Amino acid sequence: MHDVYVSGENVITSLGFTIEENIENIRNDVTGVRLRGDKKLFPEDFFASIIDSQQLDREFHSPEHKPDFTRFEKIMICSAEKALAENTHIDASSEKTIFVISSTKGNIDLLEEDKKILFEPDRVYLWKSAEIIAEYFGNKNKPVVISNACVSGVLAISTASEMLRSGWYNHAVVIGGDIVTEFVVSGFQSFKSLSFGPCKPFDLNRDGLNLGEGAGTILMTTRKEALPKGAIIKVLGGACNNDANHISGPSRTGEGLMLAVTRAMKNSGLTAEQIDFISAHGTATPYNDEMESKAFSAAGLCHVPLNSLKGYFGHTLGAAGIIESAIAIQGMKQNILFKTMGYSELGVTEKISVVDRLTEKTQKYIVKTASGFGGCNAAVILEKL
Amino acid sequence: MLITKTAHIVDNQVLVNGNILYHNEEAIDYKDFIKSTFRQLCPAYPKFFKMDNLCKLAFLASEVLLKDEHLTEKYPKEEIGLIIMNASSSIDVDKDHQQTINSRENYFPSPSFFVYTLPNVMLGEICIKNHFFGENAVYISEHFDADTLFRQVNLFFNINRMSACITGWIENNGTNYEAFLMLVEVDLKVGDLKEICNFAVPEIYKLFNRQ
Repeated sequence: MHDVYVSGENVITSLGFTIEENIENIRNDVTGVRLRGDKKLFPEDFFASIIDSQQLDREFHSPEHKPDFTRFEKIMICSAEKALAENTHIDASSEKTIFVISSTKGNIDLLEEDKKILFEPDRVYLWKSAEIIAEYFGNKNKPVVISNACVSGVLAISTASEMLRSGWYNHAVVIGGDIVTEFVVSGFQSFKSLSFGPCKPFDLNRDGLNLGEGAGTILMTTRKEALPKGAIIKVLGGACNNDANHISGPSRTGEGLMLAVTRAMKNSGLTAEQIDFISAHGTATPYNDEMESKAFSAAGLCHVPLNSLKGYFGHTLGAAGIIESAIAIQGMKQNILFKTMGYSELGVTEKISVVDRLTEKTQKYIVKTASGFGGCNAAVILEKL
Repeated sequence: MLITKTAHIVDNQVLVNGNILYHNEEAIDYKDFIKSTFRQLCPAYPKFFKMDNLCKLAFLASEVLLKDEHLTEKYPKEEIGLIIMNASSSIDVDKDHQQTINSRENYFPSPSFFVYTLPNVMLGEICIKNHFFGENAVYISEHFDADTLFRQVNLFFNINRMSACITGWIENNGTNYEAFLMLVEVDLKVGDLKEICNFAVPEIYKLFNRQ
């Protein structure tokens, strides 16, 4: 069995196209969640975090001999390209490198009447866009595509790390992304899940989530000697558990998430006392955050500081697990806990420790969690050496 | 690891371990066939009628596969996992949802469609029915890919994240449908009498291709 390390990361959100820009904005309490009046996305105004299209076109270097790319593919490729540019020891085209793609809806906007004609019909399928992304980087391995609602990103990290641990590959390029479309906005609105303002994770006055678009990349390697200078982050065990309760409502007991967290700790050889920080999911819907508080309490983690980053760039769906892990990794490297934007007063039953201001703390072990429709919950543990 | 049972739904037939359990040549379409199969093979389960076509297919295949298996009596509920692959994700119901929002004059997005626009919801339905709390993962692949399925399932068995797994292919693109599920178990208890074979890539292809 091989140890698996994080070699580099990138995040693209409305807060910036590099991990540094995103971190600087988060440190300065800047949010990318804004009132949007885009009638194409939704008939009424709503709050969301949207990537600037003009900047995306400036940042995305489309090779002239290659065909057009969709918005989803552009943010995915752009994110991986930026991460790889800083990690030249990882050869993206090598047969020992695997691409792992995480998304809930990928190119779903291609179902729209005016976009249908722009691409071949099979472009709407995730296997197709994954193929195009891997091909862009000259990688010939069949990409692994995970589409498991909002836990896709955490599951992709944990699955990629197990594939490397088993020695199948030396490197993994794990990319997660989702865009804000008419499709998802109308759907979440029909569920009455969207907040009337910027979201307030774990807060007494939380009333729903904000959607966000984004892409994140985590590069993993088994080659410790090639890692860039600085703190070393290792990917430990993970777990995914269903709560067998309801397809669209979070479990009232939090049993699925509790199982995922405790099994991830067990698979990593850790106990609750050793966990220094939780990067929670915290969508800011009343039921989800309540469920998470119960799960963390049941797992013996009430004392552990936790945050949700949804207040900065919304819920980025299939990208969330990867974007939020990348930011948590920066927090580990800088010995910082980022605050929960939008949070002011505890509004869940269990007395969890929500980080409400930028806090200095060295962290050895952290857990990243996510929960989603279909009753799925996932957790993965990261270690700073 | 052993494949201890298979279920296959394709071409208006339901097969268990390769033997025809039910077929309906009169079924006019997929929906008709699925409905008659449910009535014929499954006990009453009102939630079935709320499901979208993909979930109905997955649910029926799982019911046939898991009949008389009593998995939760044999394994811890958190060690019974579902690892499913398909090509088209939830495209059939995705198109239904898109239809409801295409026109601003006739705009009525419905939560009853939207909740099914994620492929892993079919795993959720099976977990709810059977009280499975284990691993869930949906992999998207253009074709049935036994290599990837085998490797991913194997991975989770090897690191003790599963003791039993329902794995296979559940595809519905609105025109064609096919469900192929295997029950994979870490070990067999003494006294079990089953048609079994090793969980390995050639065997998986052999089972998938027999009808």
